[in-house]
Amino acid sequence: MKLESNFVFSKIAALEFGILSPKMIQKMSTVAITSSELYDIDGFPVDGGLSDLRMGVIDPGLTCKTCGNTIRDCPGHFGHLELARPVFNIKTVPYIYNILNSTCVSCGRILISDEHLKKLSEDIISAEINEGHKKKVKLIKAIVKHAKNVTVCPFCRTKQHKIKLEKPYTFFDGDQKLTPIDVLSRLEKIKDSDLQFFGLDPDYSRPEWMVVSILAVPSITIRPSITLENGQRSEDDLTHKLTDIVRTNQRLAENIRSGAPEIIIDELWDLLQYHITTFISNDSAQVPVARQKSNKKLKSLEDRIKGKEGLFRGSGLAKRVNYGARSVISPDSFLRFDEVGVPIRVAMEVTRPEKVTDINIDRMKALIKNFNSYPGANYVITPDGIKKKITDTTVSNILDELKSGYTVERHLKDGDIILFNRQPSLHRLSIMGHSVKVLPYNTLGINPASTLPYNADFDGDEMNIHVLQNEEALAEAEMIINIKNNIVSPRHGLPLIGAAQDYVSGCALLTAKDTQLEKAKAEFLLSNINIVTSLKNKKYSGREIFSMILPEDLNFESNSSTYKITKEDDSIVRIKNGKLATGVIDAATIGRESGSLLQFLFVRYGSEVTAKFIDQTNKLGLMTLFLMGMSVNIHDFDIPKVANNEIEKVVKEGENEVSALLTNYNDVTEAKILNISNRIRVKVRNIIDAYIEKKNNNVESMITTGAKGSITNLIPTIGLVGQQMLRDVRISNGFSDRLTSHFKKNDNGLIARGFIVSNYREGLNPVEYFLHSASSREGLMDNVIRTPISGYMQRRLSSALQDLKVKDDLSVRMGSSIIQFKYGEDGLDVSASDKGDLKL
Amino acid sequence: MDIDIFKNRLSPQYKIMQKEEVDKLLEEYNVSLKDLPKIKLNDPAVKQLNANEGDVIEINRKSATAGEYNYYRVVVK
Repeated sequence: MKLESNFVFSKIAALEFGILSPKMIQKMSTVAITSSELYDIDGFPVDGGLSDLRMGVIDPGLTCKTCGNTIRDCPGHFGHLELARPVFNIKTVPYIYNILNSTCVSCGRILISDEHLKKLSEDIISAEINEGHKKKVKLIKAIVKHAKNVTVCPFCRTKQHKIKLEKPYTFFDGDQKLTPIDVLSRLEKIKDSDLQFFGLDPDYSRPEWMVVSILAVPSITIRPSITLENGQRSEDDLTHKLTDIVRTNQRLAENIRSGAPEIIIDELWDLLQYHITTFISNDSAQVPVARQKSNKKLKSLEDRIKGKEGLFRGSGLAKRVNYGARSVISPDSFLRFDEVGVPIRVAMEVTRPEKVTDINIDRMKALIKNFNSYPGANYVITPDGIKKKITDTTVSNILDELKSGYTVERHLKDGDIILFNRQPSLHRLSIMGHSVKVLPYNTLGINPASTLPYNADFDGDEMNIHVLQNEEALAEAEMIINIKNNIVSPRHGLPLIGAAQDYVSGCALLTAKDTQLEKAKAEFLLSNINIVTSLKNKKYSGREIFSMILPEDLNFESNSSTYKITKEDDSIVRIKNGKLATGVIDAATIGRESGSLLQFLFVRYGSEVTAKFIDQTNKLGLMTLFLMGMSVNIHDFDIPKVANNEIEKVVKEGENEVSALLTNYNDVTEAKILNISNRIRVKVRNIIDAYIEKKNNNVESMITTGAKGSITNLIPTIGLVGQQMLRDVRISNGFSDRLTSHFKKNDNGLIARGFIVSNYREGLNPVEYFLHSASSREGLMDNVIRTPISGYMQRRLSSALQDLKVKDDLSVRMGSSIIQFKYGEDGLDVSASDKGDLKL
Repeated sequence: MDIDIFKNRLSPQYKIMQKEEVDKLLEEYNVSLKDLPKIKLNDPAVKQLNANEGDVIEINRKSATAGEYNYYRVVVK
């Protein structure tokens, strides 16, 4: 069959949505469903059953009785089921309610006088033409709202009474229940010309069609059954629901025929209504959810379309790729930060296409020969686009025919550029180009220096790689979105990739004032950063070693984190002609989100120099720690007895202050007490700051160099934990007039309302521990509740802004229309400037 | 209207652009009038300027990044 004959060439001018009329359903239908059986004893589909062959085929080899096509080409055909009694379509109930209430009970006209209608009709038409569809909908809503409140029909003068809707689908006229049949007859009375005031077009949607009297039965191609391993058939959820509907309908019909009591008929009718409701939507309010035997919720028609896994978000807009891999990530400090360690098994599976030329043909042939072990190839593509798998049987033929113009899909090798990504991809730095390093492990390796932009850690995180398949993508990955080009953040102009934690400690240790290294140790360090020089037989200072990785013409001056705390002049970083004269290299110069030196290098010397520098500083820091070691001891958290006494005194004073307030005044505000507890905290902080051992204290040095931690972290560790809060106030409640039975009634003092005077090192007493848990739990709860909310906000925001682009005239545009005349109003690229300024 | 909204200290400077200025602007950005950001005819500032539909208004604002910044909006109904 020629492919072209399948297409209809015409342009869609407009779409009209409407309601299927019973007539239309009958016309579309190929089968009248009469049996609730699916298969007969021999396993063949029953005629008039729900898997009737006229509704389409799902088994290979069979042909459709309607269109004669096989499983591949048969689109499926509707069937229909005549209902013994009509029922409501749950999705139309609110519209039926509106229409019933704004039309006359007896004559069916809309409850607005004739002369008024003429004007409104014109209004609607002009609103749609001039102000758009939204305005029209607004106008219609206003008309309906008005008509609902009219008490006397302007046409036949009948007094109107309000029709009540008892959710989900029962209508009452006074005390009289309106059956779907009653509603149907009322809706039929409405004049075609009145329908425009409900936004309906009588050609496509008459209101009585909202009541289902003939059910359109979807073809089996949209609800295929699957055959299990044991040969049993398992039917689709929709088929299950449809059998329920057919069975109930049959029982209802029989009971009506045999003249069964009203009450039984009503019961069955209601059941039919329930089944059809859950067939359409299985989570409408106040309707019990229909479940399978396994207690699993049945998938309704609505579920197939709605929500994240529905037709639009889950199928239409979803993207799936080939040449991708995903695995757990592990830290690997011996990779460069722009590398990613790719497991050899992955490298042999996801391939890169390489064009065969006269120059590389020998190499390509070698790869093809080696197809079942590592540096090999998986497929060959001929110039006509035929893809051939390389196997034991095909390899010799392929080798013979291979010539330039062929494409070889070869295994990944070191240095290939791939994309590396971690979800949620909240920013453009969540997916960057890395170069491959094939390694014999099962996880993806990543240098811990490049975890920040991905927000990755190693507690089980998984990341994805994507292998690029054409030169254009490859060029973009290498030159634009490569991680080396994205060291500096476009948000605040500071490096996102740099030293963290032990790298900072190591570098600070190396560049400290009196660090001296023997020749052998200096050689060890330099060998690790690939610097080959002959060293003199003398002691080298750490700063001399560090200077070897600086560009020779670099002049730079900046405060270090250490200087900010110690105020020693020697700690100020001064680099003259590529030599580190004074200064401790720490978080302020090379740290992530703070490194001024990295930012300077990036803007001055470009990405390659900076990238090399980052890898070298990190390696230096790491290796320095290998040489010198660094550990933490409980006594690093010691403060002298005087300090402890001072803290005790501060707490005593605070407590006294509070109790004095409480005894002397009647209306002490919580704010005043909180103020006192805050002052205690500040005082304790100052005491710790003043008394903590400064020399030979690795905890203190981590804080001063900015490697990790702060004085704030020390307060609860060695000072006091402080006031515990719940819902922004001191913890109250629990027992009557007191927190727990450990306190006296009506004691509003510091301790009795959750002020913890112990610290983590000495330990909390049981009451303190309990109160601490209470306020930690609040934090956890808040976090759990807030995360999905902000996630959805982010999603809406990025969907709204995804098409904004900065054009080369620096204007921000969406399509051709201008959003901002100059990007950021100043037209500056923050990552290429001095933190958004032009001081350079 | 009794209140001069332009006198408010938070109000930026508004100006109706001359025909030649508009043409220059459109040429600079290679756009037509419909591509410019819009401002409603019933916007208080437009009312006070007595601008008509199709006029382009130059708005001079204080900017945190650039000091001063010009924005152009076409008056629409």
